[in-house]
Amino acid sequence: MREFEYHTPGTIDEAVALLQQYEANARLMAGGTDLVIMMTDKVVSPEHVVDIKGIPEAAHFGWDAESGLTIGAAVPFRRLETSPEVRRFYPGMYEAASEVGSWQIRNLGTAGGNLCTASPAGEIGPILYALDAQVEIAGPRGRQRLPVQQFITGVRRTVLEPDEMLVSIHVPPPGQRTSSHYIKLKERQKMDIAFVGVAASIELEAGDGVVREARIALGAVAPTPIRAPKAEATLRGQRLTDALLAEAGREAAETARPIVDVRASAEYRKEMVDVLTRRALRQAATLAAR
Amino acid sequence: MRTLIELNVNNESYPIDVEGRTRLLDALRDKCLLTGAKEGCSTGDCGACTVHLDGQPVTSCLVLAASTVGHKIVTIEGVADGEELHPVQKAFMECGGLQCGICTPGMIMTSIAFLKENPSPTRDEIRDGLQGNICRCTGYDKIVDAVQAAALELDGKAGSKK
Repeated sequence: MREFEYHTPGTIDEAVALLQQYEANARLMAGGTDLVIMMTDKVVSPEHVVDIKGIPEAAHFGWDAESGLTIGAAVPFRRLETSPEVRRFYPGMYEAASEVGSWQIRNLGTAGGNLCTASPAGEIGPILYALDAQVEIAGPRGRQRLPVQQFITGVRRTVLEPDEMLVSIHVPPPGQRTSSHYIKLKERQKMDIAFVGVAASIELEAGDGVVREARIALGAVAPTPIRAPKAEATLRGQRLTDALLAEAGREAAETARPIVDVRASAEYRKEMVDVLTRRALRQAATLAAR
Repeated sequence: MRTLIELNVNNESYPIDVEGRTRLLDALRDKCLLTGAKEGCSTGDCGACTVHLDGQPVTSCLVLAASTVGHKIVTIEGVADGEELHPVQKAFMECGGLQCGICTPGMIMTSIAFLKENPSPTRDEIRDGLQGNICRCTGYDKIVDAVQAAALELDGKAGSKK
């Protein structure tokens, strides 16, 4: 690892000022689980590392019925995994958070960092897409909020300019009879990378089991997480039967554009999108009906 | 750039000089001369470098030393009570929960934290708790035996205090 100057700003504004000053020579660090490895391997060798863990706004984690869930950019996965509110209102996020790395990694690594790394197989992207989350960005030109789908732009690419940073992730409060689920397909039970990840969020009409709204997001089968809009449209306004689930699964699989690599073939990944989409929808609907 | 920092390790203060890039693992081993935490993979996968940071297990190969100023670090050297080994250490010895020993400090640090959160775990829960610690010798069975034995011992102690 090349030597760098280590900065610990106390506010978002201070962090942005450091990014403005050093631009491409600076890297932001939250948990460090990606960055420290990349620096050890000399994949990146920044001259300045800006650690945001000490910024109260970045470390903030909170839930209320009005505004939903706020996840500061430096909040570790373990905080999500152990939050009773996450477990109750966003079960799919609990599943996604607890699938990351090991206990040790989840104590360090953050949802914000995972999003900014923007790996196609990143764990937190699909569930945030399915939960219709927004992200708040800070930069010299002020703050802005945008849908999480507009944040990740490609393989390991985001909309962030060198002098901008992710401040927080915002997940809207769940409606009535709404729930979510996430399934990660992998070879080992823990410490593995997803072949395929499927996140589903579903809202049911009162009483009759008809789908009011459904969102499906797929991970590891395209350069970025992707939604499956055709499958979502198929579900809307319909009763959730096996035949309908089969149709939605097929349509989700058609949306996937997987690569072939050492972990799995493209055909297998597509097939698994079909199966896991059905399973994730069924589980989300079961939880929503409670 | 070298700076002087003060680390709180095992309830003792260590004034040491580090660079920005110095990892906690290197600071502990080379500066504090606490060589219990081991370097395995350097990528956070194997768990051999596990220490407690504010009571929670972390892989010290992924942590910058400078970022731990003001936090409490506990290493394997800090878990015994004087000459009296920690019950988890004893259980690993008695159950043969180790062979070459490289993974053992990390295994024990994770096990201690795990048993605080789950004092009477099933064997599956123990395996899940140790998901971030890899052993290439034992096949894990005797490690699970050791954690189970330690759970009984610790539980008994908690009971006797009541």
